[in-house]
Amino acid sequence: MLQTDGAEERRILQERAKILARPDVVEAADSADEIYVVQFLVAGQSYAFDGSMVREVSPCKQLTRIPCTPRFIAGVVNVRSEIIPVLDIRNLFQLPAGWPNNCKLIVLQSADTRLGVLADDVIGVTTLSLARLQPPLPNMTPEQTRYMRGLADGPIIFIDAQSLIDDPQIAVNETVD
Amino acid sequence: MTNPDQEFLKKLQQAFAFEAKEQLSIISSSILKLEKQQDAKLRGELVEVMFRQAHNLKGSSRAVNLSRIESLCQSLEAALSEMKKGKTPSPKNYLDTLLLCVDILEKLLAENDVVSPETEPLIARAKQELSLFFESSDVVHDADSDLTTDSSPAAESMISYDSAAAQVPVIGNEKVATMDGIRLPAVKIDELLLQAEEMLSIKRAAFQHAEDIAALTDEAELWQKSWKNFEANLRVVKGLVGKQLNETEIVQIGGHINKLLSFMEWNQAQVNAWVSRLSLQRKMVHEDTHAIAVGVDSFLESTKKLLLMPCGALLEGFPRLVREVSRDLGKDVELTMTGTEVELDRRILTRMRDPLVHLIRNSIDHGIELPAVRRESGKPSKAAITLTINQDDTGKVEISVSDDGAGIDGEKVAAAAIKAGIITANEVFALTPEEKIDLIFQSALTTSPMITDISGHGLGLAIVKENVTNLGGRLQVLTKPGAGTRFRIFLPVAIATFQGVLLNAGGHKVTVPKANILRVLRLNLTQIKSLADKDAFEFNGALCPLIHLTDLLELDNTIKDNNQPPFLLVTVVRGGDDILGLIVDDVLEEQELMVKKLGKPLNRVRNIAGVTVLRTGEAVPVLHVSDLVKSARRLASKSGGLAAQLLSPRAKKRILVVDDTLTSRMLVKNIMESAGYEVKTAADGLEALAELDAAPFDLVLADVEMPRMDGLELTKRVRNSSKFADLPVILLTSLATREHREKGVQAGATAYFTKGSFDQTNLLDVIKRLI
Repeated sequence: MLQTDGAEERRILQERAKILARPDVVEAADSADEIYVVQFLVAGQSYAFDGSMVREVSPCKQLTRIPCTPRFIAGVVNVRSEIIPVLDIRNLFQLPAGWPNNCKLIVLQSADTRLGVLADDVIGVTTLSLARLQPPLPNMTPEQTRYMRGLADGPIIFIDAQSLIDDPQIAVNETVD
Repeated sequence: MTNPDQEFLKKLQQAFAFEAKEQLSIISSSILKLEKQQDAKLRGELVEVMFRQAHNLKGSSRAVNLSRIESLCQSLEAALSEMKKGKTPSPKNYLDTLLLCVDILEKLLAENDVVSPETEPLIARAKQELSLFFESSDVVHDADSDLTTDSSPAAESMISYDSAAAQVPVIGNEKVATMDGIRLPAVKIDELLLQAEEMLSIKRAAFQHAEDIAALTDEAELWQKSWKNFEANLRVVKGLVGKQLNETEIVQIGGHINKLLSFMEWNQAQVNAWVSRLSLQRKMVHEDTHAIAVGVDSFLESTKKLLLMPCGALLEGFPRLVREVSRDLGKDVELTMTGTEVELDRRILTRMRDPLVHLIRNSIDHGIELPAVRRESGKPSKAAITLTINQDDTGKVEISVSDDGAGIDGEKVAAAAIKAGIITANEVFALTPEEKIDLIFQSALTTSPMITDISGHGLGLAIVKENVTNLGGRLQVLTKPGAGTRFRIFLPVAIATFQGVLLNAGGHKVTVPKANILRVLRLNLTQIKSLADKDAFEFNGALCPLIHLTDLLELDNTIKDNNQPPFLLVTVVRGGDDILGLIVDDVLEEQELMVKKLGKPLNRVRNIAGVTVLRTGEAVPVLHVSDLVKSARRLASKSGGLAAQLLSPRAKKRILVVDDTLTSRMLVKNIMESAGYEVKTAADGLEALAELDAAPFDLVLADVEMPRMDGLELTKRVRNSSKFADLPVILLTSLATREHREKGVQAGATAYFTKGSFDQTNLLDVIKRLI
């Protein structure tokens, strides 16, 4: 039986307490500043959304265009009985028009809002280092940089999904008379 | 605090906020009841309820760290605890103090316990007033001890403590409801649960059918294997037929034939078995389908019924509203509400709340006279406002707000309307008394000499009417000068689903609520009346405006139809009081549909009410008919006349051939018609101009030498006109020199061909390019 004084015991117990007290990290990325993102392609350029804001990705089928809405609203889709408005990023970022037939739908989720975004293709889930994000390049247009959180290796344009959802510029509030 | 803890606290605070709203609402209505209640026993019960709510609120607010709320609740609870003992607070206006506390708590709740500079002094005041309730100094004691002493009937106490009432505060028959969540009677949920459980047996039946079909399919595959063997044997036997057989072969063939025979027997038995199983299967599937249909339909019905809520829940704050507004205006008003147990779709109720509030405020402000004035006219100084809710057999609900005030003076209203520029004095002359009173629903109309906090802005009644019509209801006003006014609102019980008619406009599918459709008809082109720049047709003795739905919705027409039928398919719709004729390409089926909101960021899209999902899963926009009617008015004044467009058929282009010789005219006409154009002829420039004036053309093909007016002059005239300055003009001539060509160009001709050398195909190509 080892003879230890109270102080040693306390130190050991404190050490153990510290180890045990660390919160459970589910889906932890390797280092503290890395996050999971969903990477997708539009008009040849890679973009990414924070993975925690993406609810689902699916092939985009049966997109219904709504009359009298601005061009950046591609329309709405019916996802399991829920009507979700869909943004046309090509129009929003002033990229050339023309979505491929088998384009994908990315559904973003924030608090009580769900918003869909079209993509040419979804590449997949990857990690992004927040510390290594670069500011936007000088030759980028204001439409492109409006929602940008930064430029990652790739180059991948990392978009702030929340600012996209909350942007008053994409809100439609029109009455007649 | 780490993230999960913060999340949890947030959720807890949300739940608290939801519950707290209810509790405050109960306290509030109890206070108002207390004011009117004389019976000591009933008063005691009300105080008991209030105490319990305050006590619970205090505890919960402490649990979620909302200290200011907790602190005020503590003072409130202490005061109520004294009142529970049967004591009446000394200050005469103690009820006002209690109401003030409720107000402050509601404010704190909304601001999440963060105190704004205005609220701080109010809290101090409230606490001060509460402390003056009872002379005894020891007011703030531990109220918790009251709970334990309650169960033993105290001798001095005149309150009977009903332990059952402590659980769920249900006062009378009311079910408490707030806007964010609803409370439902347990029995409705039980019903729903039962029906949901019945779905389980449907599920089991479906699985069973799947298994049965799988078994049949397996057996069929087995049969196919047997058949293969059979086929093999058959081939052997066939091969031996017609041949001379030796001994061994005869034996062999015997064996094969046996196999064939046994297969046939087996086959027959198998097929018989299948036939009987299949017909049994068919019967069961048929029955189960019926059961599924019934089950799903009644489940849906019951769920929809969950949305039904007694009106009383919506009208809870009304007595208080009346009390305050009338006090502010120095009037004495009593509100009576009946029919509060009638149930309406929650969504209708929430949308009716503001209109009703407005009607009541209006009534107090404008309708009800000051007490002195009332006494002079022999009326009781206390005015009465009655809110009744009635449901008839057809399911329509009538909400009526009536007062015994001064009534609406039609002349005053008319005068105000003239002043507001809504109507001219001449038009007023032609109005009936009812129509004059109806003017109150025009926005920008007010008869108040000044705008108060409460009314006089001139928008309210118009919005009330719009809200009611948007819900598919009707608004009626009855008034008698000197006696009072009554507003009657007729509403459908539920807006959950509606009958929608699917339309095809230019290849795009849209739906219109059947309730808004007056009629679908075929309109002959000759029936179209073109008035200035609007088009219309006669419908039920009135002029109904006419417009292409594709134009109204700013859609492209994706239908390429070269056959122009001589009539239009028109859907006549009504939005509010106005009608509109929509030109569509097809009217498809009628379906029972649910309208779903578009959702952020599409908060409000003009002309679109929402989206509905067809049985195929396809989403289709639902049109907002009142928007459409308003949009049509704006659009009609911009675009050109429809009739003019229709007269030039979309498919064939029209060419005017101008030449003074008959042969030339016939020759060119022939060539153009064979190329698919519609041709009209003229003999000279003057006639040509007359033709161009009468009807639109796409191109003019003219000879140069003509009497009265030659081709050059014609071209100049065309170019100088306002109506067809851009009309392509091709000059055909036998004059081949360059000067003549130049003259043609100067005159403004689009092209110049010489008759001698003109090549048909060349000319046609040019024409094709031009039009």
